[in-house]
Amino acid sequence: MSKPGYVQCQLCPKGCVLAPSERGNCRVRINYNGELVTLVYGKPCAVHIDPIEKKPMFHFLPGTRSFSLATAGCNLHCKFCQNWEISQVNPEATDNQDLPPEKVVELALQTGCQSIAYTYSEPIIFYEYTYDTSLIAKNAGVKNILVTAGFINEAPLRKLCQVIDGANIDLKAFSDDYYREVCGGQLEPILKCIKLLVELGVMVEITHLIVPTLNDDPEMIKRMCEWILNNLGPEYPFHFSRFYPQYQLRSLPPTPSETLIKAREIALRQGLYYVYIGNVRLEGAENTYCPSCKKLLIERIGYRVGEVNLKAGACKFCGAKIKGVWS
Amino acid sequence: MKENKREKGITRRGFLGLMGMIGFWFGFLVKFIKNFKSTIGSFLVSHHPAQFYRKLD
Repeated sequence: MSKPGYVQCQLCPKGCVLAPSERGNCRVRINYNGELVTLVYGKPCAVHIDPIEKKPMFHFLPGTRSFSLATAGCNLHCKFCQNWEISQVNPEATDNQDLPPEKVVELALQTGCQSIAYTYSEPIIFYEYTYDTSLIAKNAGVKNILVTAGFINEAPLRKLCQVIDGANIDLKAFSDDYYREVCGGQLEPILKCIKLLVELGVMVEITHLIVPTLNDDPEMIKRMCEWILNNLGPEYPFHFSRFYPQYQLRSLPPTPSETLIKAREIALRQGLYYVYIGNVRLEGAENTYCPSCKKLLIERIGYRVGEVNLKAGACKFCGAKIKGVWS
Repeated sequence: MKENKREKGITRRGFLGLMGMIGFWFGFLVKFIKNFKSTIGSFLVSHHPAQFYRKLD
């Protein structure tokens, strides 16, 4: 259908059709005189140096620091968003820095970061910035990590995978109804994204934020683990994360530790090798153990890495190969 | 001579009026600063060509 002056964004499955001067659902892509432009290229509103364990990426250069950045906006609208002050506002409402891609890489190198993480809000909506920065970083020997919900179309994802080394995907639930009602998205595109990332050789870790009463059903967690096992295999790290009351779900309590422990037991029972609990300190729940000899491989205390018993990506004790990016 | 019974100091009515005026101008100022920040903010965003879209012409 012909609509003079209109454009359709094809970055994510929402496919926003935009009239002149209209913005997409993500708030950062706008129809500017019949052309689609991004308002956040080179304008991050959050720039920090974090331990890579904070992403969380547990099987990716453990103990190193990651230069982390985000812009305003998001293409999902989760009622529990932990970063809603930047993800659910227009880019005009945040304090933005002027940081072109070359400068990001320069700063990452200067500060001794071995990776750049596109994180906090949603890197998919600042796609062009992510891609250009990643390309320069890759050529400079710095690795790139996406921390994303994975709500992206196949073509842009394929292109992005050429420059991305690792990704943490926030699998919010294993229910399309939950995605539609609580997050304003859909489940199927996320699953496709995870499969494609693995297929294209990106080191994937999956995080599931357990929100009490909404997505803590053991049956659903079991089905989620089965899907991971059948479609990816047992060796991709899986993180259960504790929910804290935020944004539009302040009336709910934080996730009880027992729920997280139970979820971890389900995942391990299903056959996943590396299952972790995050956002709360539980003895041993952040450590990596060898799936073969069961000995401690990486000890973690919060975001700090303690004992490491890996040798060239394999268990020091039995020689079993451990999935990850270790150097 | 008629005695002037008016007490010295501000009356209850005057006090409420003053508070109302302060509230009005405070609200106006907050709104003005917010609008100003948004106007300034619009100059602080970029207009970089995006990828992955199609024209519906």
